[in-house]
Amino acid sequence: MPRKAAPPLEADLLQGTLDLLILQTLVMGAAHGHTIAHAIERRSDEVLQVEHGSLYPALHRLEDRGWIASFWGTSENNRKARYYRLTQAGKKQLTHQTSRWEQLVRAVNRVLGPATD
Amino acid sequence: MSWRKYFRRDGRDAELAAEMESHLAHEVDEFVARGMTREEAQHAAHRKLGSVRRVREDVYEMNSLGFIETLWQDVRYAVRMLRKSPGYAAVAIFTLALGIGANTAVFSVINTVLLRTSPVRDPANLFLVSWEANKAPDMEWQSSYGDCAGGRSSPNPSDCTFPRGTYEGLRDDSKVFSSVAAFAGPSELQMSGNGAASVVRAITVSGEYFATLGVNPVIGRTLTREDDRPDPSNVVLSYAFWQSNFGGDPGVLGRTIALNGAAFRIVGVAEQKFTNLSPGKTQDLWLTIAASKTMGIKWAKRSDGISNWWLVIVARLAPGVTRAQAESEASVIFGNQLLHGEKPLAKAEDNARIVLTPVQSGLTGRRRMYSTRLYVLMCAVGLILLIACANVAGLLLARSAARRKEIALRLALGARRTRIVRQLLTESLLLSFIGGVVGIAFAFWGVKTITALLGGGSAEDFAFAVTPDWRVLVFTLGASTLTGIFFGLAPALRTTRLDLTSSLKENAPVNAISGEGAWWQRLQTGNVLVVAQVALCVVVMIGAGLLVRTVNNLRRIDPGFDTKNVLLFDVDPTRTGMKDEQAASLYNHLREKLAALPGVASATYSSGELMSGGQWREAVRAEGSASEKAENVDVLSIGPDFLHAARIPLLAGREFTSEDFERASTKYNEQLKLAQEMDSGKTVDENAQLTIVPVLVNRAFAAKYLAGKEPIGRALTRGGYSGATNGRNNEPPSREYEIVGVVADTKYGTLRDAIAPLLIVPNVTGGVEFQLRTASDPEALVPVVREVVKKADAELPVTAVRTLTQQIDHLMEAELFLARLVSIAAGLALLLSCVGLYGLLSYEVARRTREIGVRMALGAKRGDVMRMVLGHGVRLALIGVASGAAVAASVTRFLQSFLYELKANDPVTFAAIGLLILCVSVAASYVPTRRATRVDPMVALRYE
Repeated sequence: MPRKAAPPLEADLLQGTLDLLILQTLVMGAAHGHTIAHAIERRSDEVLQVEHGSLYPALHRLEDRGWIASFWGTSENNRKARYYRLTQAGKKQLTHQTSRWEQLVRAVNRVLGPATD
Repeated sequence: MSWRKYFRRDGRDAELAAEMESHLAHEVDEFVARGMTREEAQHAAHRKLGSVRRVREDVYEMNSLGFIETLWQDVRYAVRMLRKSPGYAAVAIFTLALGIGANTAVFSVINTVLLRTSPVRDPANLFLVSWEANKAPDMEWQSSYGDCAGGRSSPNPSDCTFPRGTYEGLRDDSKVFSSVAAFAGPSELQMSGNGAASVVRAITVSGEYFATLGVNPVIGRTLTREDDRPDPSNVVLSYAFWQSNFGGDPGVLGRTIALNGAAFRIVGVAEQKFTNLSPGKTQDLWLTIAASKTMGIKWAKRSDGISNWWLVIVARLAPGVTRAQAESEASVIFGNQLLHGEKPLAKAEDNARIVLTPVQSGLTGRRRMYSTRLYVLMCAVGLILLIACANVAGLLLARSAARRKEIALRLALGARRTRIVRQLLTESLLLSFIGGVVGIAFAFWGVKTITALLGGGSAEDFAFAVTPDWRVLVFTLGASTLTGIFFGLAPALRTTRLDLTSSLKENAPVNAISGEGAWWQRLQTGNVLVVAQVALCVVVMIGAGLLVRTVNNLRRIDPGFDTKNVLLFDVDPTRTGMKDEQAASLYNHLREKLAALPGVASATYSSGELMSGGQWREAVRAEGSASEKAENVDVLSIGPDFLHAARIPLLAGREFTSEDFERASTKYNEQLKLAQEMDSGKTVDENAQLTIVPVLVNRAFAAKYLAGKEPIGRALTRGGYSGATNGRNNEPPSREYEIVGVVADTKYGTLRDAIAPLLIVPNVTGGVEFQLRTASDPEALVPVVREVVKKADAELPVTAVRTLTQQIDHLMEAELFLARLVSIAAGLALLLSCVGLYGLLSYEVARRTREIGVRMALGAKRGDVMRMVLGHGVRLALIGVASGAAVAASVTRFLQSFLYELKANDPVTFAAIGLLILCVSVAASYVPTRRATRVDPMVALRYE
């Protein structure tokens, strides 16, 4: 496990990004809350620490908007768990939000980057 | 998804709980896999997730219409909390009810008197026509019934009465108005043909009046333009008059009544809501301008002339016409009449012009009379509400000390501060709303008191029906809400800013021992609240003090004649056409009969009577006087024996003899004859010498015009009418009067008037006011007096029966009203502030019991403890009194117009009130202080 390059950021520091991360995580298939949290942490090299307290309200919010759907299933540990999967509307939303995010990142980078002219 | 989520929240919450459970289980599995024991893993998992309950609440709230949901929850909780401490709740609700109730009551009256819209169709589009000029037009007769604010005096004279010609010009020659109506009055007429003769009040209106206003009849019809002719004369009754004098009988239609002896047919009754056009003025019936000429009303004969200004005009704009267009066209018509009439009344440079104002603001009626004092009262009760707020805030603060643990616990369990503040605010709002509801009950009583006092004791004078409407409702609701937030916010913020650990500890140390700063900080709010209450109380009390002293000053004024035990009543037999000679003998007959009654010391009569608030002035000049021009002096017209009955001393010369009355009568007839000849077109010598009438003058007259000269036997010349704008001062003076005696000075119109020159003439014409001096309570004689008058003339109505004391009280009605009501307000303010101070100190002592015990155990004397508690109270009171006096010094000047012989910053009043409040504060501090000195150190140390 690599050493942390930077202190972990709390995912909800950037408002709205948690939603995007959840949606992205679910592209690879249905998952339950615990998996989603850990997947985000692992994939960000532990830089993004999902505060579990805000994960569940976010999941419920996304479900209310119809971007993800939920069902009860059995987990890899053989425990009862609530699984979430991406809906059609959710996929569209993911594409949309990802491009918005990239725009944002490019814009911020341009500002931060060395002046070209 | 949508709204359905709001209804299956509990199911979803259970699911979420299961989901979190599963999350924890997975987390534990993971930690165990990493080598922790199961117990360690469980702890770690919980730590990592944080409060499960908090997450559940977040989601639960997400699925709720949060506001309503928590509101309902909070209200239920608040009700439970209040029921747990009924004593506290009762005190708070009562205090708030007083504050809100007093404000609601005063606002109800203000709403009715000053804000209510005119009871006509589309009042916003009905305009009052008035004139403005650089110099008042040269009118000869001008009458005004107080419909609008206006005056002929320069600079910028303006008024809303017009000659009949202007009304007809605007009605017939202009296209800018869709309809124009005129009215004047009310005038008092004698009505017979419906039971005993009585006096009724009639408004004279043009035929278009009802159509222009959009007033409908309840039965029959209203007056139309066809009615505006002398024969037959029709009248419309007001709803109230129809109910009270005709029992609401629909059979009145077509009935004939006699008004001042002329026959009138009742054609209809106006709708109930149309009580009046000018606020606060009342009338019993309406008759037409044409009809008014047949009734022997003196002014009516001249009512057509361009120099008689007496009609108030209202108009509606034609569609598409702006107010400015209408004003300029009307001004042209009006200007032409003034400049190019038979007799020019103004010059072009006077720039006489027409101004249109919506009737709502233009027709002020009796509104003006009441507005200032109502606003003063509103300020006083506003302060009461502030005091009540501060008081309840103090209570809440003291109580919040008892709830510190509860709130600390809730904060520790994860409640957010905003949530708790909101809940505390809900509690205070609940209190203020209950206070508001109870306050409405107080308000009903308050409105009764206010309207009774506004009428100066007699309800007829205050002709506004005060009823609650939506504005009052909104006001009370608004006042309650603001009050709730106002008194609730500070304690709520205060309470939730806690040091959690120390509050939660079972045996919290009393902070005061560990350091002054801590308790001082916490108490700051409480101290400030008490200081504010005392200060506000000082302001109200000083206001009340000034007003009460004014009333005392007024009451101490010696009007120059004996005002005790005098019964007054009015009669006017000339209304129904009785000749003046007959009237005079009727008066003398009545005088003898009344004087002979047991319990009556003397009986006399006068006209232009003293202390009536009215004024009758004439321009005269004493021959040999230093002043060249005739000057206006007050005139009093008296019957035989008046001086003796009124106890006005005769200083020189003689009183009137019966011969004097005969001479006055002769002159009056000579004048009448002249006027008739002039009316019939004969050429007459206007300067013919008429009979000279003997008169009396007062000492001030002699001193001002005849200083150092012998007044007796001196002739007075007359020059023009009061106003004297028509140049009559230039006519050669004619000898009118001869002074036969000098009397002592008396006040004339009102108590506040300075002593002024007075001319006393023998009364020979018109109605009079009888004055009976009685041995005991004058009011007991009223039935006997009515009987005597009825025997002398069965058709003669006796009106305006009152005592002289009542009449004088009526003159200082505004001062009495304010003095009484502001005193009540001041009493409330004092009571509330005392409760506030007492409450704070009691709370202090209770809270510091242990500290006091320690101090006493360490050797503090009772005296020290007493100084500590009492000193605290007195310190607060002193700061309050000082700041209150400073505020009062800057605001009492708004009362100046009500005060008499008193400066608004009268030091005696300020000092007395300050001292009084200090004394009361000491008294209020006494009980808590005594409780503190009785603290038993042993008990106190075991306390808590």
